Amino acid sequence: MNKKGFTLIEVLFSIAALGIICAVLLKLFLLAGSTNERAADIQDAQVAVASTAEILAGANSLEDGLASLSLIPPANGPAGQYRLLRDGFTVVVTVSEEPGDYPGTLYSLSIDAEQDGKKLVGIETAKYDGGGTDG
Amino acid sequence: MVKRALTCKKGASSVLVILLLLVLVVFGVAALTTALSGLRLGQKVSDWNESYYRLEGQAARCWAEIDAAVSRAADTGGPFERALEKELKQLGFEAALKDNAITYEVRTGESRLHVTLALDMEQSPRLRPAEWYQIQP
Repeated sequence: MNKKGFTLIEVLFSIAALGIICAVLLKLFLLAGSTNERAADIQDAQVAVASTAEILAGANSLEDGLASLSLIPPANGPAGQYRLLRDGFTVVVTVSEEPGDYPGTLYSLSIDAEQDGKKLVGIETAKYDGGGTDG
Repeated sequence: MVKRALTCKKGASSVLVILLLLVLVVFGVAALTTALSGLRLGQKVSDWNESYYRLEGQAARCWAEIDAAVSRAADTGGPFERALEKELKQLGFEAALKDNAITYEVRTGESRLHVTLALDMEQSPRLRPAEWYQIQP
């Protein structure tokens, strides 16, 4: 049996080659991990936005919906910007009154989910608080 | 020659190391592909939700227009149903009155939202959402 073994140069060279290959592989796994994390964040943010939108849309009036989210609208109406923490995200609800000659009030709603000050997902919708209608 | 190659132990450890690295590469690529698919799916769901809520917004705007039309028709003093049909024809979208219900559709791209508003005539005319569903292409 050959007991001479490898020279120091051979051992060092093989360790360096393996190190480079392992570094590339590690980078690949880390990239997969961070991509997974981002996908999970987008899905969770989507749930936070959709659940907020459903609470507002399902309420009898926009004021009731905001109250269900523990948000207190100002005395002059619900128009304005509200921020709330939901499922680890900052949900920004922007309400503005749309002009028009309607028996009720038409509000446009913009609901965004932010994380670390960066917008992840957002939706634009509207809610009609009927005058002669059941809202 | 073949027998020699099969029985020779030279380079066996290198073959094992290369095989191990190959397995790791396959796992890494599979993990990245799965993660990217998850990300794409998340973005797609986000786009669908955005489109759905935009449709809902349009439907709410149409509802407000119809409510205004109902109110104007009630104020005319004449036969309500005829006045309402006339008012509905003047709207910028198609809304049909049938059996005390007003039906209309809103669309963005290929997806549509079908809405039926029930018209309650007991005291003064009142609208109530009766059906509200999305039609996927």
